[in-house]
Amino acid sequence: MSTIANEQTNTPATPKPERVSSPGRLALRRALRHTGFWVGGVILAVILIAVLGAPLFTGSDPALQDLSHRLAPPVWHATGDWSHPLGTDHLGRDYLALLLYGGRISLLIGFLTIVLSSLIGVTLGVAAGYCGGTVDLVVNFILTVRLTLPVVLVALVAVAVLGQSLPLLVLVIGGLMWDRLVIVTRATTQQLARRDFITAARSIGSSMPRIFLRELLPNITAPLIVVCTLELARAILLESTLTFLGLGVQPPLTSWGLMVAEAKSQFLFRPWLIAIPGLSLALLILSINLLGDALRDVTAPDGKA
Amino acid sequence: MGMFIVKRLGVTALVLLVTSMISFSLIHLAGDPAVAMAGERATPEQIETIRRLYGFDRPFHEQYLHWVGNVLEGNLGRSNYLKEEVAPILARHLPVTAQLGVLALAFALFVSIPLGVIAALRPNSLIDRAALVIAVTGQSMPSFLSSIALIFGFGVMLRWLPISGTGSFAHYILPAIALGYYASPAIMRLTRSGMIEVLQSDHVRTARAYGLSAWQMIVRHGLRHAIIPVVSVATVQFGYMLGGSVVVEAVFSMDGIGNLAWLSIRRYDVEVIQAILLIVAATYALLALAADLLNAVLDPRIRV
Amino acid sequence: MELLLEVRGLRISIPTDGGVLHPVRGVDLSVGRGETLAVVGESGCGKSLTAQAILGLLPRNARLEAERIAFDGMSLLGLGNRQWRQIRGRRIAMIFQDPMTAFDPCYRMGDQIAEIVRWHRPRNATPARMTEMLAKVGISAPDERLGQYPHQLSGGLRQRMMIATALLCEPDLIIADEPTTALDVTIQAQILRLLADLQAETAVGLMLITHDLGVVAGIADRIAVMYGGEVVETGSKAAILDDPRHPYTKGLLDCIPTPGETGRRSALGFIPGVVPRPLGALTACNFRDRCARAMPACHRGTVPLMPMEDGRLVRCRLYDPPGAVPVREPQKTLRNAEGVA
Repeated sequence: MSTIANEQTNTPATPKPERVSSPGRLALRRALRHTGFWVGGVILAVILIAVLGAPLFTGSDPALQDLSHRLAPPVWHATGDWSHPLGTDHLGRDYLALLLYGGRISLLIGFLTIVLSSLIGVTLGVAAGYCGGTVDLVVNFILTVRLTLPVVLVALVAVAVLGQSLPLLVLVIGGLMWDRLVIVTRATTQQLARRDFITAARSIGSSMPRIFLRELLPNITAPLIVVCTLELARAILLESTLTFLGLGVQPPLTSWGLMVAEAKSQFLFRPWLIAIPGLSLALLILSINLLGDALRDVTAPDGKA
Repeated sequence: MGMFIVKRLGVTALVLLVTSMISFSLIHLAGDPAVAMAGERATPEQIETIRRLYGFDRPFHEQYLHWVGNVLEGNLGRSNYLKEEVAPILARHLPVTAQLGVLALAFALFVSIPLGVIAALRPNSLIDRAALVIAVTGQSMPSFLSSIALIFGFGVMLRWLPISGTGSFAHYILPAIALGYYASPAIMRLTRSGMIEVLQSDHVRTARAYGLSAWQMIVRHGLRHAIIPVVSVATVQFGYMLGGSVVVEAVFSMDGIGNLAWLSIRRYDVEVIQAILLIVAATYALLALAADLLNAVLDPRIRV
Repeated sequence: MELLLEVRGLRISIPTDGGVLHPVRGVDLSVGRGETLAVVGESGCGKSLTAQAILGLLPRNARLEAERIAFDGMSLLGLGNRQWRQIRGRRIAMIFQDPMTAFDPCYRMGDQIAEIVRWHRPRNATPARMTEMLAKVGISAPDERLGQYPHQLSGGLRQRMMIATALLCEPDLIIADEPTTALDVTIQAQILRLLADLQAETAVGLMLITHDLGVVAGIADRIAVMYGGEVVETGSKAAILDDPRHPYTKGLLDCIPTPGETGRRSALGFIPGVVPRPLGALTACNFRDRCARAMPACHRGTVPLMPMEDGRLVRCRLYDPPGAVPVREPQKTLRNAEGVA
């Protein structure tokens, strides 16, 4: 039955490479052979350069409204021209400028959110994994409660009730998205806490913060980076969803989710108005997801390259 | 086993209590609900009336206990905006979301389990890689975008399917795909990794060494095992779908729980929001419980 | 004796990042009808892969070459799925090393055994026949056991179940891959006795793969000792156990404690070093680095399997009589039998 193969059965172990290289070096070497790493990395780099270097690529002010040039078509359209390469929106704003500056907001919210949620997640996860016992039970309970709360609904309610500002949006999304970080940090810490070097540090009387900073943190960074990357994608996705529903980023600021929402009514006759920010958003999330998957593969100890 | 269920039920009840406390305080402590409910042009007297009517002037814990008492008696309150009891409103909207969720889950399972199995049978093959691409794309597509894309493709360009409302079964197809597509990558990946592992296990080797058929090996002795974690994840995903249906229902103008929640949030219809949060959380918690029990049924080693 | 299984020139290679491994380098084996052959060697000598190759169960990345693998006069090379399903279980049944994991934990024992037996011997798949067979392999309260799940049974019981399953399929040959290794010592002896008795009773051919040259191989008619992917000595049980010729066979026997002996001879022997990695082609005797009696000739060229005066075959320069003819020259033209797995 050739459809099933026991790839590992009785296969002698592969010979050890002559030179033993450090985990980081090994991961880098694996990464350079990883298709997902390249594809994700290149797309993300292009987006980052375009968005962060926005003034280099467009001379227009994204906030400038010009009602005499409303809904101009993009340059590939028969009536488009280079003064507005991607056309203009329903308020006559330059769509390219909106896209580039709007991307900044999406990325900014994403990054700030991850900082917040990893603070919460790592604290809870390390506490649960390291202390065990009652602390573990309590953290587990908090986690269960968090998982029981429907993210989109609670975020919508929170934003609706607490008001709609950028810091608040970060607070709400970050305050809701730490679940996977806890799960991963807890599991990794649990494994580590049983290892000898932690026991040794404990036995010579190292303090908890010291053990955390010197022994635990360096050893959980690899899985943490992987989860943070994947969570960054989820955070941007959630931000765009809230914004699309009208309870996230508010004008005059703009983000890609808001651009899609504002173009919704135009989508029959001017589909590019949705396609441009929509594709950018999907590509951004896709590239981060690809990168996260690649990082997971290359940092895996069993070396699935 | 009996002890296990009792314990799990206890935890579930406790989780729901804390969950409801959080959502209740979120709504009541954040601002003055009376002001928001009364609207912008309300006079101070009108606000005061609302405050007294809904008991917002009483201490917070009293309000909460009052609400919990009512809920336990089956009284979910009265909608301020719709001027109607909450329970019948929910009863009207729930079937739409339930139907949507079941169809979406069915779609997700129907696509991702076969795909995961095929990918696992030929790891690193073209099919495996294609399945992986589909999975990553699915994770990366916000559901409002996939909804719009589906509407544009199948509703507007091809004119195959209706794009808004809940009139017939056909109305549910596109929303179910949009909602299920987001859930399928997790299920696919889990099926794939589970299958790869189980196909290397000794009991599949036994089946092969004794000349059993491909079906017996892959399905009876393979998928049967790989499906166990999938059941829990799918159950949990179903819970997520109820919350995630907000977007899809909004785009496809379906009057389910999700759309009702969205509208109620914008109308600041406190009692309705609260009831929906409670129901979605309770559904999720019960589904998680059901997943644990299903696991015990599927894996004889867990049974006691 | 009628020839049941014949393996000639079996080679297995596995390409890896670090080069091509050759865990099996040209093995010849045969089992007669109703005969017991013990294949003995340390772990990594290629004995288990040889067994898997016979049933076409090699891992997918392994490449198989052989001049001939024939069962009951029919070649097993290049069989299709459909043909394999007629052979596996029905003609050649396998008993595995680890009875703890060999059964599917999700199904009751009775259902699992019936699933296999129904395909090969439907008339044996009845509860009555199954109960009868379970009793025969020494399982008490067989009715009850059939309704239990694998995890509710002990390792010894599960191995008896495995043996019962194999026998219910009424095969001509049973390949038992380290059938007692995973079991407690007392259970090991019981299972071994059971296998020996059943073999004698049913006249089924038995290929017993083991690392235990003493006790386990003791139930065999013939013994083949493998080292580094080659057969280094093969002959009758008496010849091998009472008068081993190859230094490796002697070493293996010295590792076995002999009760009742005193003095220096009672000291347990050991073979220095470890099995060499099967990397690349052989250019000399594979055992030379661990051999106490290695001599210059051992480093010059591969060693052929030579017949001795008593009919046994030995692969060692010590027994190079001037002008002797090796059993067979190393074959250059090998039939590539990829796709067997």
